[in-house]
Amino acid sequence: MRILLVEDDAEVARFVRKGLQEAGHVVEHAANGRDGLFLAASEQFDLLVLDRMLPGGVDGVRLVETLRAQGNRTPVLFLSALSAVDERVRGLKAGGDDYLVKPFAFAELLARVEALGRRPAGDAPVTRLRVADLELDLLSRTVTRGGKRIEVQPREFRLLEHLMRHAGQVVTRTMLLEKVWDYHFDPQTNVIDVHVSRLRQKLDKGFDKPLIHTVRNAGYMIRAD
Amino acid sequence: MRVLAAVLLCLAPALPAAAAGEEAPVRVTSGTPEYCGALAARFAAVRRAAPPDARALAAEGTRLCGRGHVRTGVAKLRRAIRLAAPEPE
Amino acid sequence: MDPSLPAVAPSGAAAAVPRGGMAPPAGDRRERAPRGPGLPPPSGEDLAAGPPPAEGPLLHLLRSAGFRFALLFAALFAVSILAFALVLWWGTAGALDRQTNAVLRADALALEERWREAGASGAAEAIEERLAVDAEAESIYFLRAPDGRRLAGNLDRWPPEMEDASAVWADLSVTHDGQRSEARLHAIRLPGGHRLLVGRDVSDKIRLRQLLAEGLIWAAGFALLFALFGAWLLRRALETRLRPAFRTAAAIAGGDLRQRVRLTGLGDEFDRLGATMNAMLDRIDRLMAGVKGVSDAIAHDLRTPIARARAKLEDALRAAPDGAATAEEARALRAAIEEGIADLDAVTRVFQALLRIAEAEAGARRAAFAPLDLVPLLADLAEFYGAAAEAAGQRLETDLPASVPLTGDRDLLLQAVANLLDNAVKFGPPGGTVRLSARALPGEPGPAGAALVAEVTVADEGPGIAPADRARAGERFFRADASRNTPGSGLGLSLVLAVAHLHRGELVLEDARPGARPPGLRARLRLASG
Repeated sequence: MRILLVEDDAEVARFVRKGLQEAGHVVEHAANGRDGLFLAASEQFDLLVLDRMLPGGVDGVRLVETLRAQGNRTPVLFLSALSAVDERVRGLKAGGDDYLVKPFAFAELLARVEALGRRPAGDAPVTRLRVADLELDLLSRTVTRGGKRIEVQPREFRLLEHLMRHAGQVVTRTMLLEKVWDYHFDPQTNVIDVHVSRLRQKLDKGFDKPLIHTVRNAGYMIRAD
Repeated sequence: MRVLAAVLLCLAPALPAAAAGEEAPVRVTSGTPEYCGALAARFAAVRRAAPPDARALAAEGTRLCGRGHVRTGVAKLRRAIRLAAPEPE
Repeated sequence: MDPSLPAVAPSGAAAAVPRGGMAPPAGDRRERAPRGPGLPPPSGEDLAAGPPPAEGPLLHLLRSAGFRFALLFAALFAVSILAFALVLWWGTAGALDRQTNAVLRADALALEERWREAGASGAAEAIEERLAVDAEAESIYFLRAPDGRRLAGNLDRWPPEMEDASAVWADLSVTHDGQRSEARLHAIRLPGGHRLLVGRDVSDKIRLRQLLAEGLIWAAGFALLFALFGAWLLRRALETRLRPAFRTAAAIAGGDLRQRVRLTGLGDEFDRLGATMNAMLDRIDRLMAGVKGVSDAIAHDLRTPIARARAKLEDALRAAPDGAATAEEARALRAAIEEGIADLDAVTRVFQALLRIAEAEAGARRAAFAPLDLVPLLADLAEFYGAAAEAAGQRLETDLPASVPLTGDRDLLLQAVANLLDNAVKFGPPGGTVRLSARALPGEPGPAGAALVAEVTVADEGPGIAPADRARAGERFFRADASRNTPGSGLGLSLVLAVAHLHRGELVLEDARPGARPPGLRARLRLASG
């Protein structure tokens, strides 16, 4: 992916840039809002990673608002030191697609970058998700594996759906919390792990090949092998 | 408002209605035919000195008393006497 | 205002946790209910500010300054009308009476003089003379001999009311030409036991007086009506003029600092009050903006170095094996770095929790209030934490009604109940049960004066909190001795408390199973709407 990183803190920028490059992405970097806006408007990127607070008159929110006003729909991930709930809401309202509060684990950033950057084009609505022999029917809301019906709770269905929509990608616990439960706080316990392991038990019972994998220090991934 | 008026009227000082006893009230006797006669006699005593219109008044008063209009008769006779004696001592 | 009385905790063991903590921010003191000078300082168990004293509608009306001013106005108006009527009465009806009395007294004196000059016959002649010229038929005379005989006069008998020798004045009814009429009588004693009565028929004067009285009463009645109308106008005018200031103050108290008092442009006292309020609000607004700017700056300046440090540690973690001489050393290095990262994350979590609490306490989030139904939110949370409870060998039971509507902040409410559930699971024994229940309240008055409409209760079977510690349980970083070894920041209940206060409610902590060992903890989050 071709990613534009607009971040004024050189240390963080270097760290993010290096990490993303190691993960196989091409990263352009701008140190202030003005340069960032110029780059974002003049070149084609798959994803923008923006600091919410930027020096030089154009902060992250202004930058996104300007881009969106020009019809630029490139996905935007906000990085911010501001954690207040309404700051997050403001960032998303301005046209951001995701919001990550500093400090963050690089794995969290990477998972979110890949989730945003590899979003399906979104023209044909998906009605059926498939990973190996696991099938999820979004219309009848049923789960089958190897043709065998698996009973899941509504919340487990949504959890599985989110994992399968990002099959092959790391999905972090925070992402699950935000996207599946719509909770924007730290639950302080490993509740997510409990829910995932319950789902895993249901899916893998009677099959020798596990589908949901734990990615150390990052989260979970569903994949065929 | 009417009730209020009634209450205030009752409270107004010196209303004599309450003074009426259960027995028949005192009667004023200067409205009787006898008094007419007394007044006529009194006028007769001053008749000669009286001006003509006093005499006419007295005559009319006596006539009215005779017809039973005692009240007006007495009033006319009294005015006649007053005219006859313009300066009562 | 009367001082609010402290609320009595529902049971002896229960305690409403006080507002504030180790270092309450300025906004914390703002909403604390005023206390009377005679009351002891806040301490211990009864710290929830009491509800405003219950009062009847009349008392409520009397509390309105507008109403009192209007009442004063009406009273003054009524008193002046009364004084005016009295003076008028004295000057008219009273003058008529006085005039009658003077005439009677003068007449009686003249006849007494006559008596002295000419004796009884002279007086009798004078009386007959007077009667003979009384063309208006108003005069009443009676000259009585000591034996009761009438020597002269025009009454058929001496009035029995005046039989008493001391009776000098009387009002009474007489029959005149067969008609009832009213007379004013004056009696005097004459030498030799004779008595003289002088009177006047006052029927006409009484009729006049009645007319006068009626006129006065009607006038006073209308004046009273006008007084009431005027009072109503005055009260309304006062209310209308004060309403913008009142509304603004209420909105400000609710956390909306952008409101300003609308001025009429008349430049009167009310406008000056409004202008002063606005100036004050502008200043507060600037201060708040300054504070927000400062806290944003703190957030930024603290998070950025932590982010840098974390980034460096993560970098180092990736590079660690290369720099280490042996596999053993590499493992130790990795472990150390991972611990460092975990510690940094813990710092971040505490910092995040503190910011959240400050956010809730500042009341700034009231702008984000929206109508919501607690039940689906709680059901979701129960399902979410039910898994955690099961993993800890406990059960989570719920008792939720069909719906508990509330206007509030979804995210903060969720986090508050989540903290309670997290605590319950953390401190509950294996095999124990955590109970989550909710109910709508019938609107009983809460600590901030607002009607409480919802209650969320979380009960566990853990060690509970000792009554002595309950009041401090909401303080930041407070941890009862029993929980020293349990992970957690000691900020969970502080946040719950801040959220309760944001919703103008309270947090009540009590024994879940009084008398049992362990007693368990029941936390009741009582909330007002909007």
